[in-house]
Amino acid sequence: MTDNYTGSQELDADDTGNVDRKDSSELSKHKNSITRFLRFQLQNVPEMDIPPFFAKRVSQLVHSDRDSFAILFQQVSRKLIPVFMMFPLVMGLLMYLVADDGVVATEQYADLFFDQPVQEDLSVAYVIDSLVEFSSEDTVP
Amino acid sequence: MARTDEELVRAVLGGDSHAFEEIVKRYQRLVFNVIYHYCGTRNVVEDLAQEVFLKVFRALATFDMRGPLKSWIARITANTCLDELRRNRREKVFPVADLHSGDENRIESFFEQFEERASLTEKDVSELFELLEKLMGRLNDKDRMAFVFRELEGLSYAEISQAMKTTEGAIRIRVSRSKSKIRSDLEDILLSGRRAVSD
Repeated sequence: MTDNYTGSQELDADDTGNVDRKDSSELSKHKNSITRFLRFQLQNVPEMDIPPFFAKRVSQLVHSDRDSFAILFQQVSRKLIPVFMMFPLVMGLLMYLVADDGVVATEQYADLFFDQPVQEDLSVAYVIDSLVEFSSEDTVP
Repeated sequence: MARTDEELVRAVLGGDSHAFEEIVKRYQRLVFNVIYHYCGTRNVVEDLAQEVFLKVFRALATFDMRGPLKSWIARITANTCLDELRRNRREKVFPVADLHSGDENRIESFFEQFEERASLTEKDVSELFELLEKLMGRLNDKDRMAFVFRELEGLSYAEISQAMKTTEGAIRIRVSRSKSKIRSDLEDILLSGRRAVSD
């Protein structure tokens, strides 16, 4: 190894043998420098300031969100209270109005639902009997 | 003595209103920084962080106690960010920013400052991040998320793999590919500048 070593004193001034190596060494040095620059950039990123009381605000928001259904239900119920109070009154009034016409209505319903359809007897004997009755009705006593 | 994550989750499910506040305090920094570093804009961070914690609360009953809460929250944050990004692309709210020649000049000037070991102001740091953000914008969505989790938030590969529901190997590949891409883009900018000067 030491036998192959060339001391600087043995190199000629115009010896260009190591120029490529020197260039590549410069490039590596520069690339290393860029890597250190990138590391520096990464280590010096600014941080975000957290607004005061952020945690408290979010916590309150979250719990208001959770309670929102219960609150909505309460609000709706509160609005519906007059409706619930009016309901029996309106129903009472309606029942009263219906009760006024109750007799007629009940008869009509009875006709509809309980009266059996009349079976008409149109036999020859029935017709003759009817004609006999008519003729006797026409006779003046 | 501070309660463990599992104890806090059980307490929230049992109706303890303070327990959720403790969970938010414990993970708000992670959530804020992931959103900021991923989306790259401060305007949306607070709203999205709030959305993340609302989702966490609503889904807490489905949380598997065997896994870490940190990864689970990171997962919800990642999904929220990805949804936001897709929505922005669809509605073109924030056009995708890419580097222009002025940005490249700024990177070169910062690099020279860095080589000369000149100190950077807070404004410089913020501007450097904007430039880095533009370089990260060239990555695909999931590579970028893995890169943010690993390189900016310092999560372990195991935590990231749970958050992104994939294997650790896949995450290592994503992070490595992202770093190579950003480094090569930086090299293109900085070496082309040098070449132009030497020519």
